Amino acid sequence: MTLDEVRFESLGSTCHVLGVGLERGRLAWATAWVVERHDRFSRFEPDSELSRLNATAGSWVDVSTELEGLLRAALRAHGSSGGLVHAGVLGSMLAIGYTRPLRLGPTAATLAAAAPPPPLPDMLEVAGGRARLRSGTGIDLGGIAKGWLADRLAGELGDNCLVNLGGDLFAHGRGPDGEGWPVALGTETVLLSEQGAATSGIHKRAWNDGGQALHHLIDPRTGRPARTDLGQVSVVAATAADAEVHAKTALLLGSALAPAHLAAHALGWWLGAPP
Amino acid sequence: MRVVLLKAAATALTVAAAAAAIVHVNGNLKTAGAPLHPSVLGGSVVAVGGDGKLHLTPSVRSGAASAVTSTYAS
Repeated sequence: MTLDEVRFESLGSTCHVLGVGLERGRLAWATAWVVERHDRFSRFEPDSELSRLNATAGSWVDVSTELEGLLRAALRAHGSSGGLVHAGVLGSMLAIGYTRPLRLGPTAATLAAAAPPPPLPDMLEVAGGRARLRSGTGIDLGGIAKGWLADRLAGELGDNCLVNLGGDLFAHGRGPDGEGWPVALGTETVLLSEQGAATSGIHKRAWNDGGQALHHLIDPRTGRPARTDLGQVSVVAATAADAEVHAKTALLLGSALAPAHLAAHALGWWLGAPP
Repeated sequence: MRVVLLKAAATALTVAAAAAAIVHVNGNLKTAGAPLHPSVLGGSVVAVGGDGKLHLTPSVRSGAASAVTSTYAS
């Protein structure tokens, strides 16, 4: 059977979807599936579901089943990371100048406005098709959505496929040679099957504002771009969403604590030093 | 007297069973040097290169095949 693949830009990243023995048209369907989710869950799309939720903070609003799932995943990520993976850092994102897609360039930073957010469960309530944000707060799903969507698309696309959404990926089935999907992790290749992988780093989406180095990975303990002695962390876990959460947690913990966290939660990991 | 004999017999039986168990276990070790806790919990370093270290648990295999994609920060 042949290996088919497609690459496209969405979710602010390059997406790569591969499959063995897929039915005709499935890759085009997968592309449209991702693009539609981008439009619904991006904070940069003024008419997206997420933008409507942020705009109505303080009030209960109806949310789709998928957005409810994403919000619940964000709450779980907050819990399993000890509060380090925090979807409620939108205020800090805006304060550092990440107010629009970075291909358009950041806006001027106002770091004095960057403050630690309250715990996510104090900001966000989700209940049976509805959600409510605390007034004056906002959500950014950029740190959780790609892995969560990769897990779901891989489950729907076919029996033997790999979905890589901006580096967060899930490998479903046994791969092109029946031994697992070969995926680059650090300097090695690992064979993944029914496993996810993700990488978190501070060198992408980074810029300079008036001599101050900024990047998009916010440490919720400070409300500011994280300071860590790790350059990037790649993780293999049971799902892409789990891998994403644990990679980010380890990056924020730093080299002293990351190995213990990953030994308890990950199936494999690469710790990269700063350049 | 009968009670004392019963207690002595039970004690002897217990000691004999323990001795037999020790002999059996020591004579049937699969790997005498095996640690009590396998390295699964901590993972093991399988590669050091570039600027980092790769740790894998036994549930993830490394392979020689060319990678079809990679995980990366975005």
